[in-house]
Amino acid sequence: MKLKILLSLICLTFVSSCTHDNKKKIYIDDRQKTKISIKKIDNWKISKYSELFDSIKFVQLETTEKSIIGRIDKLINWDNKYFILDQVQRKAVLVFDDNGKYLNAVGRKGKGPGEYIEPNDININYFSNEIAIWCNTTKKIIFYDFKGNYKHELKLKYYLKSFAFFEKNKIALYLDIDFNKFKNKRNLIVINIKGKTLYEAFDEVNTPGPSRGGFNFLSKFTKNNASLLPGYSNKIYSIYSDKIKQEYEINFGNHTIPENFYSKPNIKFTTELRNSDYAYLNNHFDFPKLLIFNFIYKNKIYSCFYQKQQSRLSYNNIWINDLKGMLSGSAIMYPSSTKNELISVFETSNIGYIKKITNNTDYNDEIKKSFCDYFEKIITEKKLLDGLKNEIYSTKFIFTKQDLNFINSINSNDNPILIIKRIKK
Amino acid sequence: MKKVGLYVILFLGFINIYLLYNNKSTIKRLNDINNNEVMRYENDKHLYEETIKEQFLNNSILINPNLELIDSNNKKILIKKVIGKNKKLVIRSSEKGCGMCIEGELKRIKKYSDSIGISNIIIITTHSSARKLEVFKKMNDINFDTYFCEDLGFPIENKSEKTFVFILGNELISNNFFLTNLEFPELSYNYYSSIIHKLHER
Repeated sequence: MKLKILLSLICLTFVSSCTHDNKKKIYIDDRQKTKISIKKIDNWKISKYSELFDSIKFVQLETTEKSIIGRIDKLINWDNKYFILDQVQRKAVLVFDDNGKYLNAVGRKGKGPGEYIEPNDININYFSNEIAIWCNTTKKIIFYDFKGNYKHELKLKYYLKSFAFFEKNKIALYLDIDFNKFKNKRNLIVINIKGKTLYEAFDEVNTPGPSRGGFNFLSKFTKNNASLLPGYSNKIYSIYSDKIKQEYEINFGNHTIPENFYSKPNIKFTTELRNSDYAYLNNHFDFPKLLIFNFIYKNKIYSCFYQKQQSRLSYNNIWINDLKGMLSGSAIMYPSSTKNELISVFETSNIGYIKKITNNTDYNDEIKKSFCDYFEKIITEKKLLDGLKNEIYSTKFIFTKQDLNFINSINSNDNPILIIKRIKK
Repeated sequence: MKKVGLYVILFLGFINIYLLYNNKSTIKRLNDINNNEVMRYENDKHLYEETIKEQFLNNSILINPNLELIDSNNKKILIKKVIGKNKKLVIRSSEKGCGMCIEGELKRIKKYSDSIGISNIIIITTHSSARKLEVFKKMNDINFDTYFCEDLGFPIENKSEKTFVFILGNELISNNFFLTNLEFPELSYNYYSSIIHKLHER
């Protein structure tokens, strides 16, 4: 009898040890996804600020030796502050107040606790009021208070592209990076704040495209979920602690990257994609009534606004600021903490050109002429060119004396200027 | 006795199933490694082909003698004045390029800067303002002359943000074009050690 029990136990041990992968995998629910169609993509498409926004304000980020910015790689507006990630050039995270006054830096370069080699991504833990910095080299998330004081850090096993906090004490990690290939075959990992894995998803074979740079794969806008846009994809997902929902699918028609294209080696993939006729998503923000996303097509970046209730989509790749003082920022925009404004970045190195125009007494005509000259240089198709010119000539650019003074006060060596645009209701 | 034999057979049967399962997953793992190796090989091959192609396409490029560079004081200066009589090693970096790549390359060049001569090395970047140039110089601890120019006229500038290096003499024709690669730093070391004498040739 004893032998029987012993043998049964040994057998049971063998059977139970046959579970090769005990990490929880999760089903992706795509039954209620919204399909958005952009089958025909115009090479050039204008949007005027007045069509989408009802007011504009400028925030000049203070320029001092400590606050100097090389390039804004990511911006978060929270708690009346602007958190700016300059990943590559300054390798720093800088904090400014809502008037642009420099407050402090967060963390510093180094290998010790609370230090990073390079800040690769930032996010706000809205539940604990902390700012978190991801350092890929040391594979850790470092937490600080908003004044930049070091609190604690979480060491991980993976290299990440991006991360986001959601629910209480949950972190979604997006890997999709070559270095993980032998260690982890899935690109999304949801962990708790102590680092314990809750589930994994997106098998590498099912995740489109090789790894790529960039942020905003995970962007959190509701306290209940994070939102994920995988690299080189046309799909947007919501990440919960127990499920994944596909929310949107953008149908680019003939411009959708075909499945077999993804099997190309990384370098070949990116080179051929650059010269291809394919479009892919690059950035997104999911507001309650509005989905905002960017896509890349023929090396040009497009901005899209999808009004959910009306199922209406508008897109462009040329922004014209006809509301206030002409300055128009980058196509990549960031949401404000109030969720009814978008923030874009104006690089001051271009200010000389604008000053030249606005110093002219007939600046309205001068602006129109300079836009048309620009289009003439880049557009050869006569019908398209005439259409754009007509659109420009029908635009009235609004400048107040204050706007003109502001433009004249900008120096080409100043830090970038934030353009805060309030979305029309 | 018969019963014991039966249990032994049963036990061996289970071991067999377990080993078969384990074997399957090992084969799967080996296949994954193999696929990754194939992918890596394909990548390296493509990289090699592209590098060779670019090396040919970007060598012997005549730079416009009236091309203006902007120095860190925002002043314009003609490229022919910057080059002067002596050959220069020109490092071309892009603002949009990979930060670690240019950082790594600058570190490697610095190891040879004494033999090459600091005054014989110049950096021409696409950092579009004095502010950006200042950050770039400060962060990389650069003591070479640094200039801004949007387009030098090399074919590669239209399709890649990679750092490249070449020798430029007073005839303003690019020589010894070299496309740097973060993954193969030893190639850079070989390049710099082999061009030292070329830079000092008159």
